[in-house]
Amino acid sequence: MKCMIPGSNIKVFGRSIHCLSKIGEDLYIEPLDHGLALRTVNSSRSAYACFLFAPSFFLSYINGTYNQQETNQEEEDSFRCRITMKSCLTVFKSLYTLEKTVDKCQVYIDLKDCRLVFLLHCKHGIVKTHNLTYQETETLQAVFSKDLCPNHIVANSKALIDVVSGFQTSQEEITLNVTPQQVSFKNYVEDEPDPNKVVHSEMFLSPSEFDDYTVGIDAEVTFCLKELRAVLSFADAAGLPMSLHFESTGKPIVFAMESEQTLEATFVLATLADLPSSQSSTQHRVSAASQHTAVNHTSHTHSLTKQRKQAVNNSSSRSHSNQADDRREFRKTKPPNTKRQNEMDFPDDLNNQRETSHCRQPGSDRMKDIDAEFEHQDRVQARGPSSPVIPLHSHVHRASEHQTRPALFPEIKAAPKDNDRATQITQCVQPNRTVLARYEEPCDEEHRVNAKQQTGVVAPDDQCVDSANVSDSEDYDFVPGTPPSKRVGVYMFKSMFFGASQQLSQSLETAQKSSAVFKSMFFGASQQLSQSLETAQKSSAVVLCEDTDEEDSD
Amino acid sequence: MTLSTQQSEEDSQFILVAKADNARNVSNVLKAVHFKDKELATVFASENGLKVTVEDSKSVQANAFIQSGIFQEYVIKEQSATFMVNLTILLECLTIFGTGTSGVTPALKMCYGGYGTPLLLLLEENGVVTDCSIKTLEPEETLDFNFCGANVINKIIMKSECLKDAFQELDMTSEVLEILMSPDKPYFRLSTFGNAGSAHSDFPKDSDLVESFQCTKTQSNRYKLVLLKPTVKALMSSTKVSIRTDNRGFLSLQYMIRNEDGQICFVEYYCAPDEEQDEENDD
Repeated sequence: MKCMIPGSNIKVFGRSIHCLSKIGEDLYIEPLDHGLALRTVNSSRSAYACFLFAPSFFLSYINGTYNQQETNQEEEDSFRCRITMKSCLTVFKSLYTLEKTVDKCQVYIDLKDCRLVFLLHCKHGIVKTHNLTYQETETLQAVFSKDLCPNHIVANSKALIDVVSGFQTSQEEITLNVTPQQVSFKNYVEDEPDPNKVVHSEMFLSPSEFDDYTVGIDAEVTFCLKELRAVLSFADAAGLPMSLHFESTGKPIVFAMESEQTLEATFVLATLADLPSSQSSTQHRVSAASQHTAVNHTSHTHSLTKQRKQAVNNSSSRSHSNQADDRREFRKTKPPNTKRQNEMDFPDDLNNQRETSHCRQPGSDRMKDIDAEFEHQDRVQARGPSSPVIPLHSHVHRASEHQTRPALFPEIKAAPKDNDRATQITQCVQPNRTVLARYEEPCDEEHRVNAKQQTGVVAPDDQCVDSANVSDSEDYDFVPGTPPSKRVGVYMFKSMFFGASQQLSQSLETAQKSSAVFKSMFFGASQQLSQSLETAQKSSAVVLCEDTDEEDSD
Repeated sequence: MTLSTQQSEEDSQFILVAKADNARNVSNVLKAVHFKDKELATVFASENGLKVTVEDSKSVQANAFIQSGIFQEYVIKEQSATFMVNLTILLECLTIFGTGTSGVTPALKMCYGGYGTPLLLLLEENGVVTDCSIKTLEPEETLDFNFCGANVINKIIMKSECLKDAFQELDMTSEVLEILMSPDKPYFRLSTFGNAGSAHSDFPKDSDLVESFQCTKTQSNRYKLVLLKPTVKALMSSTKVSIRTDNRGFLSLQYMIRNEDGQICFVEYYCAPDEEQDEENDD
């Protein structure tokens, strides 16, 4: 890799580093054929940022393994490295000085000395050389797909800055609420027993404020303000409009910017998977849950998820490259906009037995928690003998529960020890456990609800809804006139694990055609799964819950 | 005269009386030798003016020269006077009216009555008078670096401008600053070796910012970065800098500081090289 940044672009480059430094602590540099990618992820892995500088951004751009004589069998294709943000910031410390003094900046890898070199050619013939130590690394890639998002807003960065500046600096999260008629931003308030002690601010914008406004479904997403501020600081300085792509509660929100084919910036922020009781009516969700019970054979609820945060931070322990390769193999296709994935990006993949054995490991204490949680659910047995619960919470009936941010990067643990694996493989002969959560258009749902209520069928295997709710649910009167926004909150099942396998995306496509979107929390769905999906779709029942019992034995 | 309230007969009890219309001309030079953790400064007063010396770790010495011409009135009754004073307090007193660059500047009268007496400062701005009395201490002997022009091997005089960026961006995780001076490429190089890797700044000898380049021999020495850190202050307020090294590797940095009235003062730093140099060169 060797590239030369012209003096006119050095400030933008430096600013991107400053922006990234506000998000993550490490900078991942990957030269690609179509440009130089700078990426970072924050420590809780709930925010991911990527800048892609196209070759036209540079005076010259060579992505080659030109002086790579010996070494590096692993580097079959290209070089990727990670440097600490601090060290990179020393190079681009003062944007003002950079702009004033730097004529051009050369960046290259010195493979002989294992240094990433920034060579700043300054005015008056001064040359500053920074030889930075780096670590070789796998590609950092968030798995997301902004093109599938039903909601797309393009906003002037100034407008967003005005919005954000209206919130206190101590505010950690904000909630974005969109309907086709209006947009609102409000501060997100975590559990505060006394509502009088909290300041609630909300700001409304009309769709005419935006350059483009496409809202397919009403949505309410809560995400971190800190990262958004970092994003906006760049967008503002670069004067670029920002496009927001998002779907629903718990699904990531994507901020994207593009500049004349020289620069693309993408930021993916995780959103809170559950809404606070103070903000969206708990009452409603509980009732919705019960309503849901009545129709659980058609729409299977998993308000999955969140919380892998604690598990995710261990991720460094599992960088076995062969394991990663295995995964790559299994995941032959990638969702749109996804290039290479490495193990850290991959969702827990349940389609493969080895995979299963890997992903069974993560956070076994977590699973214990979950098991514990489900233990007091009377209906656990109803799921049938071979299906212990998916290690994901359903919070439908536990709205007041502590909130955690979902991680963008699902955890995949280190390979189990050999003996572990052996036992697991045998266990894995049993059907894989897979959960499909499903999103349906409210109107569609309505039909089903009514239909189901008439027939009075209650699926035997609902595992998500409290038994108390179930009993209520039979009496639940579905009100067709319920505003969509309220119902949407219920039927939206979100995944923290993005990244669809081919099969899944196929079924996704079909699903979309039939106006029902199927989402899997484990997008790496096996063929088996997608077949089931298709069948499920035909029979309009989606409940796939098969599992091994191994976490019980843990 | 702004300090007209003072009667001249009172001045007779002092061995040193110095008056300046602009106290900032004094304080700006003193700031250039102010070390954060070394507060004590030795003041030598002679008929040429004041020399203020600060030392640290017996390895670095900073001298600020405030020649008598800086003062509008400078009277010394003895041949010389030496005392030690807390420079932090002295600077605080001198900038008691603030350091803003607004048009009004405070006037200063500085008096010293001899051994054992406090240093008296009178500052006046817009009719407001501040009277300060700073205790003086027994002077300590200062180091003699024995840095003489005859032993100088390499000497570069350059405009401060280009060194300012380089020094401001120094990687402070590095323990040392390596200064290389050579008649051949890379001529003049500053290097740091920090946690994240190394960084070099190269200055060509024919740059328009280099006024004089007299290097006779390639010389590369390391100096403790913490010791050189205070020089950044001097550098920032200076317009030109002279960098010299002698045959023992001792470093002399001379900064030319131009004050608001266009007068020139000099601040000088001496620094001993890092003795572990030979070991560290191995990496």
